[in-house]
Amino acid sequence: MSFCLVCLFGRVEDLSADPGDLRDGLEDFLWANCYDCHDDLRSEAELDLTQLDWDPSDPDNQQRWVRIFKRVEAGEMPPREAKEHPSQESVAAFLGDLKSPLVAAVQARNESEGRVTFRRMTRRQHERTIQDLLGIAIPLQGFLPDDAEFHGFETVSVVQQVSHFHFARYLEAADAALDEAFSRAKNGDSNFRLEVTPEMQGKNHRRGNYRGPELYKGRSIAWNIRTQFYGRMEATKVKESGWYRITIKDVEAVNSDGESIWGVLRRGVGHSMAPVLTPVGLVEAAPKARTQVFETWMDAGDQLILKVDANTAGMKRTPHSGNGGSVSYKGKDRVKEGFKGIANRGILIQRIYPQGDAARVRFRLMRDFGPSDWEGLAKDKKAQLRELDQLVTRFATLAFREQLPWKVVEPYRELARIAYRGSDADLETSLRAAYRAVLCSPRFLGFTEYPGELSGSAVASRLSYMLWDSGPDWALHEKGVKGHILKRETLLAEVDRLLNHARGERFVESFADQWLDLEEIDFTTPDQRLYPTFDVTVQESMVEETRRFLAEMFAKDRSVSAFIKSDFAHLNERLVNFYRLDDREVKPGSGFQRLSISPDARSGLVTQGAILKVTADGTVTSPILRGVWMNERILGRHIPPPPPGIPAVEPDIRGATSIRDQLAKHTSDVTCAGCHAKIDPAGFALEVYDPVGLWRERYGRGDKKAAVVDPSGVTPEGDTFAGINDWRKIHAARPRELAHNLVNQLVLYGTGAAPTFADRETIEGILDRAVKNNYGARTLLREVIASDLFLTK
Amino acid sequence: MKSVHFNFGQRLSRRHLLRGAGVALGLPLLDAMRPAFGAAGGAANLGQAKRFVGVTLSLGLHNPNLVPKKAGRDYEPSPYLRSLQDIRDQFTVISGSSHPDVSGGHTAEGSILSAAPHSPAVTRPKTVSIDQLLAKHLGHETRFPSLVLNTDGETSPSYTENGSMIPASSDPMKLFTQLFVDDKPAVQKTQAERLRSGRSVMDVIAADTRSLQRQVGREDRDRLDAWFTSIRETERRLEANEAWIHEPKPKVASKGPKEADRNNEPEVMSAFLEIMALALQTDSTRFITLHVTGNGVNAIDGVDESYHSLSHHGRDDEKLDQLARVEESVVREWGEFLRKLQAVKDENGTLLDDTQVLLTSNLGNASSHDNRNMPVLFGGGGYRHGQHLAFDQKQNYPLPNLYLSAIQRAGLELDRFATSSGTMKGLSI
Repeated sequence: MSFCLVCLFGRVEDLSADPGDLRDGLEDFLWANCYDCHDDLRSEAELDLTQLDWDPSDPDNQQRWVRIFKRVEAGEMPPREAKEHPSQESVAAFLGDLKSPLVAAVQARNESEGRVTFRRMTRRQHERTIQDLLGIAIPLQGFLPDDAEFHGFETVSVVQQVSHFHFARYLEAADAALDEAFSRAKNGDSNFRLEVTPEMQGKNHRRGNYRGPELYKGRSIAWNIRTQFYGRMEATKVKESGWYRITIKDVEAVNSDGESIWGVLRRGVGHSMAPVLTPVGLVEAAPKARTQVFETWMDAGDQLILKVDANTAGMKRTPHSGNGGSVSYKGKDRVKEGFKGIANRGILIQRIYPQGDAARVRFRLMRDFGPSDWEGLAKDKKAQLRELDQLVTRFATLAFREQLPWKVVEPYRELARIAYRGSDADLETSLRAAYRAVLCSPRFLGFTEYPGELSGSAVASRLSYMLWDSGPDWALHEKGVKGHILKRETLLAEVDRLLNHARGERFVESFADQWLDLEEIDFTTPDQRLYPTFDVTVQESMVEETRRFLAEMFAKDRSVSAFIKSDFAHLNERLVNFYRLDDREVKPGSGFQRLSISPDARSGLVTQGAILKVTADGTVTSPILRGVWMNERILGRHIPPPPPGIPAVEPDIRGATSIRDQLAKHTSDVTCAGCHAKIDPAGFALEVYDPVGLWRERYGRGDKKAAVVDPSGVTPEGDTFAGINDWRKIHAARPRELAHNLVNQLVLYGTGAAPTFADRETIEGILDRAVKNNYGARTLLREVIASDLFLTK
Repeated sequence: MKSVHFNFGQRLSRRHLLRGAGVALGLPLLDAMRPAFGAAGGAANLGQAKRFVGVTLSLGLHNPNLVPKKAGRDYEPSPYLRSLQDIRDQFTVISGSSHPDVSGGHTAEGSILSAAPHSPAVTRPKTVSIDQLLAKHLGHETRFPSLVLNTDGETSPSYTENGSMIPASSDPMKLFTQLFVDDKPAVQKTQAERLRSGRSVMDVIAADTRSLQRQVGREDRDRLDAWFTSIRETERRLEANEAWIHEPKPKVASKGPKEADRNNEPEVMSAFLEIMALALQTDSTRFITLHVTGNGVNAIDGVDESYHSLSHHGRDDEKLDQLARVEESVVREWGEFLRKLQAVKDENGTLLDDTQVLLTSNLGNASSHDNRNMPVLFGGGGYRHGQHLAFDQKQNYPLPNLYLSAIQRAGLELDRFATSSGTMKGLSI
């Protein structure tokens, strides 16, 4: 039976012409093993197999059969609890009958439509693309609505939406970007420079309500004062929005015991009407003075706010001493009294242009064309129009990321010509009219890909968006247009060039933000009474810890087993103290450091604070939420959504009962047990980490009455573990599973759709080629990009 | 309380005004250009409530403090409802209802007003929220077809028909300026110019989308269809905006939004509600959503934690006490909004009778992220209120039924909305 079908499988239509045949062949197995629960009477999990047609040309139908296949293959269905289990032979026969026609059907769809459907830039990519294209650095993300996500990823085609709001905003963003670019091209750059001496830092323009630092013997000192907006320095207020370099001179710890004193530099209006302060960076004051430099965007009206911001155990708060929330230092000597603070000898604020100077912007807009060149052609309208055409063509080619036929770009050039005639031959007006349309075009905003093997340009575009979040530079564009990029060696060389480029940092940043939900790090604010040592310094450091860790994995081709256990870590002094890793040596005053550590200690990605925090809710942990997250994001095991109507467990932070007790009732139910056998082990093992990532032995506030954490369990494969270390040992020994997951995540992120049922062999091929490098992250990334998954639509 | 007197049912067409006839004086808060709040066509439309306001909370309301113990008309007010007793007959409390097949805790926010089935693992299907459905069919008569607002961010429960979230405005000053402050002539000129040339941009890219569609595969062609319609819709809206740009905006007595402390979320909410009342009164729009998402509440007496953190009370008494202080104020501000609309009157009734006002949240229990037993207060719209409709806390009544009732009341003849099974049981006019 199945053989005939395979022969027929040239086209999907042939198959759907005879839907009954395949079903007939499966009927015996379904009767014997499935209809007990999945028939028209019970239809558990909303699956009624008696009514499920065989029509894989319909994507939904195809997905349902794929799911059936996978669950039977994984041994999850029929459930272990079933009275009679099918023999291995009959399972193998069932899977065999189903597999080839399914693969063929999926393949047929992939060939005719492409695995990935039309997708567009995310708003982060939109911002970076326009910035790179014009050589500007103003933020543009605020113009666009937030992107929906699929398993964390915003790059995924199926969840991407467009609406009239998007286009209205695309238009506004294009106007803002072109305003900035043309204004800089015309007026040049500002060389604003402001020295804010310690005397000036303490200046107060408002009457009363002083919140600034103390001027103490020629230095400015910020103390550990908790009043809102403490550390406000009004003299640092900037009048123009833009990027600034902030140089803080001679940052030094006051009254340190040899340790660093941590503070956060923020920017904002600093008023209760507009209280949002954006962190600029962490200030680490060590006993030895040093200069710290930050680069940040500031909105007009923003000022800098610097305060000690570390809930280091034992650090005394400095009294604010003023009336009504005002801060006063009169008559006190906080230095002699032994309070801890951060001193500096001045702050230098300079305007910078991270994407290059005005000349570069000008070149991006109008190449070598100076204003006088244009004037020089004033008598020759034809020559002017010819130049105009060329400028628009060049801009559109880069923006659309492919060499397009003349007639495709013609309407955009025509806009320029109309504006030319309407504006008395003004170059800026003419170019703006065309550029504005280019920046709103679906050819710019979307990725044009045709079914089958991708063109060189389409591959170049995929590659630069995956690694740079932006369009190709000229070198990559050329390799794409000429098709050189389709050669494996050239492609891999470009992968390395892009990753080693300054923009290469964007890959780890964006990928980690989405894959690991690092963007959600501040979604919850942990309860200060329950987690008193957690603070913003820790939160910011945690994200950096994870990013640096991943950066090393991709840069040095570290094995994926480091997700679970690693012999290295990237930590700063604050994190070492926070995690209470007493055995790890870090030099105070030197920021993040790479440490060699024992893999058996707290190590690997899964025990990092950022991961543990984004998988908890700030108050309590849920082994289910963490378990699902670990399965889906790290182990690569899909967890079906809970059936409707399941009551959630209401957290109880009073600590008397453990979450496991509360869950026990729920998970002992037969219908629930199947999934929970997969979900719970990882969640249970990680219960030893509280919502902010600290090790714990008891729940609640940790007192003697509180329930004890029980991190033991059994993996779905039947391996028992007593706690987190056993659990890690089990999974670190399964690098191929971890690698498989990373491949899936990279494909989803980089191409905009998950691998399909028909791509299983391709993925096995990728994994096979990575064995000799111990499934190194860089190797896997390179092999994904060089695979058919990346090179076909 | 300000009380406003104005002509009910009298609408001045532009032509009228240009001829210099029929200028209504003595309408201190109303732009005579806009129809007065009553039914536009006079008696023919009476019996409708054509305005809709959805106030949505991202963190729920603590059920035991909200839901009265007794059902029916003689319910004893719950702690949260005590401040609303003077307007008891202007709203209905609904308990034991929720959107069928919606789960996923916070991520179900998108379904608050659309009732679109949602779970953490299922991607959002194409769907529209009630306010946008109404705005699409009934919103063309006002300067703003709808207003989508958020006290502290851009997320909103307002979704277009293809399931795109409409980003919210969250700056009260900007909102006030948009609504009531005329731009300088030079700015108007630039704007008009940009709108006009924006239309030719849309024209070019719409044509280019069509040509792209001819080259790609079938599924991509379908997806690009959504692009094409979005572009055309943008073009249409640019055109509508252009028509409004030289129209003077309505004049209001207020000089601007009241200053609100961002660490007092109910106060921020109140600043928005004040502008919203003015927007309805001046008929600048008829459909508004306000999503309440701000996290700062420690300026409230007796509160020292963040809103989100308090919502995860974990049954801790101290947290519950602080949470109650916040939520009580939130409900109080919502009631204050009803009073404001009620105070705008004419011979046929009040602005509140003409406006359906909802307060709800995707979270029935924020501490366990449960999406069932949504908190629901429903006011205005000329219904026979003053009751507690209590449904089963275990087998929830479908809340989309309320939305269907509201849609019909607003004048749209639909017989189904999302997963509705009929109109709202127990709610009558």
